[in-house]
Amino acid sequence: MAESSDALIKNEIIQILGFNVGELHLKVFPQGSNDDQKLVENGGLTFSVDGVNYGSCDAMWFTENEEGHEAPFIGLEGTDCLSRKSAGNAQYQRFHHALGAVKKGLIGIYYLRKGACGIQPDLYGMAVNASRTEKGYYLIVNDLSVVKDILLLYSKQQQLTNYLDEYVDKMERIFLDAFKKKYNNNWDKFTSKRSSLVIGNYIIKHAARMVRNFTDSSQRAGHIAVGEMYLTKYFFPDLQVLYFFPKMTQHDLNTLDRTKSTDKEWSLLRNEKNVTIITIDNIDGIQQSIRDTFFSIKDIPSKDQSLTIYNENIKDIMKGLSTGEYSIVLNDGTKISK
Amino acid sequence: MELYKKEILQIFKRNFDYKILETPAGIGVEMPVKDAFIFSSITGSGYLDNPVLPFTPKGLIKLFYNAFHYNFVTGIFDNTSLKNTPYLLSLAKPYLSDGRYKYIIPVEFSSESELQKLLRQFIKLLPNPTDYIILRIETSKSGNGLESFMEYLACSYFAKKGYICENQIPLAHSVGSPDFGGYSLPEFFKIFKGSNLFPSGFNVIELALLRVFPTTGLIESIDAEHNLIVGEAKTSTPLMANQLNKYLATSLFDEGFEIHPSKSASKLSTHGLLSLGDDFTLIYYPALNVHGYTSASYNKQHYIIWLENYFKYYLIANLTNDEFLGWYQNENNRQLSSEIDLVNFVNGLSFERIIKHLKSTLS
Repeated sequence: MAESSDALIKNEIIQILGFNVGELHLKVFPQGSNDDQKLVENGGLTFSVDGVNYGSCDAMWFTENEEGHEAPFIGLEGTDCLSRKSAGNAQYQRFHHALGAVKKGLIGIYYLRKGACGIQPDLYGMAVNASRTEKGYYLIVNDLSVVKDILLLYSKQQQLTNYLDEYVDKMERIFLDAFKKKYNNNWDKFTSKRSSLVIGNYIIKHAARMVRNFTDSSQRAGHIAVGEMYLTKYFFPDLQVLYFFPKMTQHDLNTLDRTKSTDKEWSLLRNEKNVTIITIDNIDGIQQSIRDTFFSIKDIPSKDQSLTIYNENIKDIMKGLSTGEYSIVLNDGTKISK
Repeated sequence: MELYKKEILQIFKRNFDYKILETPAGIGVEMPVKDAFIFSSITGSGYLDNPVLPFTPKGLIKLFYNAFHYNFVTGIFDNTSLKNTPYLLSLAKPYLSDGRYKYIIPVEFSSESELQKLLRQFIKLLPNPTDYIILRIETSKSGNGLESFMEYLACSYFAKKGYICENQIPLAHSVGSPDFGGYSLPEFFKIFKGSNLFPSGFNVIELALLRVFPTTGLIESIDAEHNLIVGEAKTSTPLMANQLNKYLATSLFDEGFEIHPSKSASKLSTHGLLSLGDDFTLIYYPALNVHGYTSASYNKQHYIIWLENYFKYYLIANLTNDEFLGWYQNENNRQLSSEIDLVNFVNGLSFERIIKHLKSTLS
């Protein structure tokens, strides 16, 4: 979180919710502290599931027993992005920070402080399916009174479950209303508008990511890519996601696996269940000239002429995949085609 | 040289007039309440109002995302409302301006849980915990996490030289936020000369402190050699030349310098250096050669105009919402309804008009 956003959100939490609610205690660290990167079991704010570390949270509520053992209850990630003209996919960027708590079977909350922009309805859709497919609950919230309600229901299990279920239903209604308006309830329309294609049990989502996006931290492309990955995954929870980076090769992936082995976002992209990154090398049947074209723009940011070239050529590939002219061959030899 | 509690106290002893004294929370620095507010705002050192996240105004008293634009971050303004101004903060947390002195206590720790345990003890022990401000020395971090303390030293040093100083300055997303900016603007100084409002140089936050900490100072002479200077602070590594060149490549700054506790020379002759001598005295080594950057993307005159407007918002922050909105309505015969209204109004005001209005409102 940006410096002023970090300070703002944490101060607001303290101001509205205080440090203790009943037997629940707040854990929050000052901006700049590295302790949020520590795992929850080591006193930090990062949840780890199956050896994969999710993004650190901004705040956590926990109970403590007599031996001082902390039992987490809520992991919260906050942002002031709605006041920062972030109307688009910047909102997805931090989705994974609260997801670790959800995968742990706890309550993950993504708090988007009210601002000039509205919350993307897609976020609600992601949270609904995360709640229904993972062990815990994922709530998208723009009012800290919701957090207060949950904290006050901590010891009332049935009422808490009812509250959370109702909240998930409410998020679903927001998402479905927006989906109806924008896509006329048509998932084919959605996939084609969102750079995606369904083939059998797979959804292929393409993105113009390049190696530099993941090696230059200022670009925050890792965060954006992770957000888009989770958007696709939770919109299609029954499908395997093939996240297609046509500007990359298998060699590039190997390099990033080697050089970014401790990078949280890269680790999530590579280890998320039901998600596989594929490259131009996994596309079978395309002409060498298309490969060469992608190779020629592999290090050029996708704008102006480079974007035009990308769009023209990815259109060809997606069309070829949809007609069966091209196929995808995964690294284990599995062939996917229409 | 790594900075620990001992070194920090020596730095205060050598470079400032503050008393170093024993307190119930250990040896600390006695600082006038206004200076302490500025110290906390720059370094993030928190007032001991709680043991979990001691309050600091750092990060809250912000205005814009980037230079040249007027896109607000939530800070002094939240949309069109004044929110985190020093005055409003001091109403919500009276301890920020209570009393004559606060005590800066440098504390070394290796984990947040260790620090929190200690702070809990302090809160039990101290009669007025909020009189104490905890300077974090995070020994688990390379450089002990003291970059912001070096920024504080740079601000203090160059304020004495007549600059308006600021840390973590807004510039451009593609360039980053320099750790330090110093502005010597003759037109600004000319207007405020003899106003008894500001000393020759000061921290930009002081523009917003006229109401909370009414003090007088006098701009007499300008000792600044350059119009605009920029600095990059590091304690974890001596490498900062590339980042500094990024800032200088905008051509907005006359000189750039490294800020480091123990370097004896900057890496490049086109960079200055602010460092500490063996006796902990702050020493500035000017750049030996001019940097020579030019830029077609950035215009210094436009930047100065933006800076002058930027300062106006800090002055406006001395008002309450009602006072500001009332003023807007009187001047425009309608209510303020958007950020564009706000920006057009404030940018259109002269410093003289703002000061005149502040004087009549605050008197």
